[in-house]
Amino acid sequence: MLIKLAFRNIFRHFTRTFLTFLAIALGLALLIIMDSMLTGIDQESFDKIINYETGHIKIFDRGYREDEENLPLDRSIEKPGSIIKELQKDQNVAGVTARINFRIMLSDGVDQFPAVGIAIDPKDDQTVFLMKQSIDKGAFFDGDEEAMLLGEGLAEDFGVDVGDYLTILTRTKYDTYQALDLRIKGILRTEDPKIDWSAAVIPLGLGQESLDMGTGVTEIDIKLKDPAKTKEFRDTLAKEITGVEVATWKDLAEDVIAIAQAKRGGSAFLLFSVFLIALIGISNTILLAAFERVREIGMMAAMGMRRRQIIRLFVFEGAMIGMMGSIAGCLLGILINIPFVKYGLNWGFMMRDVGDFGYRITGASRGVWNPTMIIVAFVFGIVISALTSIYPARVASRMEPTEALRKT
Amino acid sequence: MKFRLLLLVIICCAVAGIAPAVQMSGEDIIRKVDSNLTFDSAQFEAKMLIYVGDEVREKRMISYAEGADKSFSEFTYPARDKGVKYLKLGDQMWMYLPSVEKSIKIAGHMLRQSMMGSDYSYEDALESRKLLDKYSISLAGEKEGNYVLDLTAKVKDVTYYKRKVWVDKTTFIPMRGELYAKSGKLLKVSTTEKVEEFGGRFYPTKSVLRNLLRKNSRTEFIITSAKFNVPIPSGTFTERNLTR
Amino acid sequence: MFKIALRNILRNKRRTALTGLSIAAAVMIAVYIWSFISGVMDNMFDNSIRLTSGHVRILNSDYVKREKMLPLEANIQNFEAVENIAKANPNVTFTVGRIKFGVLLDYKDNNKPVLGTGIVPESESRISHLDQKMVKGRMIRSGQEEMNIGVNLARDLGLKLGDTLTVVTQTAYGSITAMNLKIAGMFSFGVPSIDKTTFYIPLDKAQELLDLEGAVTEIFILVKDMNKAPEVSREIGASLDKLYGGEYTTRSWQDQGILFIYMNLAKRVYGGIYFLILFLASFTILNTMFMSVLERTKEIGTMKSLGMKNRQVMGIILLEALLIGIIASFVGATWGAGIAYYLATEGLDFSAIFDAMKGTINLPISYVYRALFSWGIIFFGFCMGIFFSVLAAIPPALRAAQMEPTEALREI
Repeated sequence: MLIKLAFRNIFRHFTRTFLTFLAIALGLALLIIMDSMLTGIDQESFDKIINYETGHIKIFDRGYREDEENLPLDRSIEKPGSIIKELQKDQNVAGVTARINFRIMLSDGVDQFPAVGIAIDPKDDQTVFLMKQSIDKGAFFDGDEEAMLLGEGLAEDFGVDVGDYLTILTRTKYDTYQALDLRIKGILRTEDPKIDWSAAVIPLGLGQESLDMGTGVTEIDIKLKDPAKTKEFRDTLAKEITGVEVATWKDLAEDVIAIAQAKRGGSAFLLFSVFLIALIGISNTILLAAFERVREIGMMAAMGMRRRQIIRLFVFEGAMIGMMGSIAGCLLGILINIPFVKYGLNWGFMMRDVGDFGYRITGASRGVWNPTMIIVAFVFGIVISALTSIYPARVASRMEPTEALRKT
Repeated sequence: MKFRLLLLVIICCAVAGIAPAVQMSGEDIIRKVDSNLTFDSAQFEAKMLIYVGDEVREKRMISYAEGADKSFSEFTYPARDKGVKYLKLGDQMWMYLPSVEKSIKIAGHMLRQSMMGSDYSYEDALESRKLLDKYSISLAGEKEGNYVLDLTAKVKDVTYYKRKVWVDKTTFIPMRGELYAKSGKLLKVSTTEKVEEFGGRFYPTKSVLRNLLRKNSRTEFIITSAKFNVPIPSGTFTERNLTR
Repeated sequence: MFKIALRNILRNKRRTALTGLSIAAAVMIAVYIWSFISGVMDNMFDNSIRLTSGHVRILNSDYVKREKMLPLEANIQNFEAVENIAKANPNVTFTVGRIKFGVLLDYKDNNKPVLGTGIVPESESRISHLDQKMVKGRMIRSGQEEMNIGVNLARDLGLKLGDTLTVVTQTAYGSITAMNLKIAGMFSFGVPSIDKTTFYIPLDKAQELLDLEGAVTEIFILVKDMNKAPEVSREIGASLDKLYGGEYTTRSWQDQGILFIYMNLAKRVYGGIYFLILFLASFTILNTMFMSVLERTKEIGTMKSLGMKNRQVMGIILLEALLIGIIASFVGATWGAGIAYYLATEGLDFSAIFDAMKGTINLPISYVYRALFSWGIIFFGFCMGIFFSVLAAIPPALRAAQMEPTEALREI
């Protein structure tokens, strides 16, 4: 019975109800979107690492990481074939590929710049990495050919384009001088500075031959179907294969993770503030509305409603508005988040100082789905609305009916 | 028929044996080069002219050598480099720096560094006398009074996979050397521009090394005075001598 | 009219208070959030600027392109004269010369490429705050053959405070050179990539070591307003060209590499976030005001039946909104300022988060977020509060003012 009354009341004071409802809906929607954005930004840098540098899991030779700065070729995985075959059969694995990383100097005959050489497998590199999709000009490898892909920044530094030649100077596994004059087949724009500004990419077969690696590689990279299982997978794999080291991308990206952790603190503070505004907005509206209804309350008391019933009535009203607001707010938040997550928000028309550089970055930041946040927001909306309705109801219902009736 | 063939072969061999230019194998030639360049003992004064673009930097040194495996050098000019010493024993090398009064073994990545900013790297200095061990050598032909030799690495750990050496047929001095990367790209070229006679033996006194990857750079190595088979104080080729 | 407005406000204290509170809270949050975000942003940029590029740098033109190779022969001769040109610019607050050089340090059986920087120790405190980042020992002093080394680097090399490290490298002109440097102190910036690969020595010693007497590889400049750095960079560049032709070039921090692009990106993202918060805050004000006026329909009816004209009624309502807006915004701005002040001085200390992670990452410094205390920000919040209060009051005021008195009186 009370519920029916509550229901009627809500629609009677439509404008008031609507304003409250709006406050809740907007507040919650904002909460959801902001959380999505803030988390998304972090995810962005993680994604770069996963999609261009490490995959979810990396396998190295046991001594490799110690000397990693030097990109040593003599600490390699000699026979990756069997490992890769086994992994390809695994249900959890979305893609496997092997790479060789090696130190090089790039030369155009006049200048020499230090850079990193990456030999990738043209067949299955794209099952793990996004190298193939990041070709800005030119084309990807067709199989094992004598050509290279060059990061955009390096191409700019040398003033070269697709079709030009550059020399890769390096040493083989046995420290013999090696020099490869290669045609630039494609220019890479990955927005990962480690690639765009420091990498020259060649096919794995060419790499293995030129560097005298035989069948060896310096790393095997794995992409998992379910990223949540990464740690688990690493542990299982480490037990199955000997003589190698298995690492997750988190193990390898300490720097970036530290920064993200730090940022999380700041983000938490921001979200807390949003909660605060939403709280104030919602409670305020409810309080204002409720205090206006003192006469109403007086009448109800005069008609014989008990205090407890009055309070309960208001709480129901509050909860109902809260529920409507929460539903609307969460729906709104989800709806706005969809394009966010799918396409991201393009923040950049970030031209650097044109003249010297003219290098453009389109920074798109994607949103993330955080169901926990959505649920929390939903509950928050209802609870706050209900709770704040209690106070004015208690105050007003304590008054003498006559007093209440007299108020305006 | 067979007998006639055999006779022909014997006659040819005899003729060949009499002819002044003996038909040597590549390895023989290199062996002869090695022995030519090796003395029981030697003492040089030399200078290095390092050309970088328009600039020339001159460095002077005194060197002692015994056989093919021991050498000791001390820089005397310019003031900046004075007192810097190098000791080579077999395939190991040390460097002494007076400014810090320390001797340092040159190993690992340091070997790849250039010596004194020249086009020679420490590796180059150490490897040039190990050709027979590391390369299979074949005689490719003759050109302008030189034997042309092709050297291809027969072990894995060489710096230059392929080399070509021009050796003068009369003096057995290497007149030109070409150093190649594994892909076949030419990296460095050394030429002997002056050969002098020292008591019946010949020795190159001016060599020029060009690093083809660095534009307009070359290093000239010039021996200004040389004494061969002179007694060298014992203890010269020791680490202790570096710090003395 | 003013008196009537005032009486109206004071008549229903609770309503006024609630409305005011809501506005004040919204303004407060808007103020301290922007202070916080600005502070964190500036901090982020600042750190990087101080460690690498300064606001503006002067470099030898040949150095610019080949910077990755640290080519010592492309240096700035008679650097003090060049420095003075920069100092002459009124926007420049600080200049200092530095030498950056690459070294191969002996490490196990291999060599580790490491970055050495020759600094003027007395000035360095103004730039990178190196003196505050010392974890052991003390900062180096000019004229002494000593170094400050990153903690991680020291650990990798197995070195302790007081040990001597012999640094061997090539001079600007290709000679081998070396120096015995005593470890006077160890530092940590909290950035592993720096702590693992750098060391500092006094500038005069670097000049001695590398044959760079009277020269430096870069002149590091700080300006008053870092957002104006590109302009200042151009000005200094023009002055340099007059004296030195094209021999020296200037660069501002904005075009110092990809890192800054990403930082600018972050700035925009956070700007967007602030906008959203502002939106919510202003909406709260609007909502509250709206409801507040709506509730007073009966009052309005009373006024009208007393003979007041529409315009007058509207005027009174708006005046009330203005009054509440001003007072509430003032209060809110003050609260916001207070919080911003606290955040600017004490900051938010998140080092607890790092303590939890200590196992994996060695960060001996605390991670404190500081806000930016700016009167501009506070004033903006204040104005915003007033603006939205009045804005919000308009529609319902209009509506109410135009109602028939009887209609108004009938509403509950």
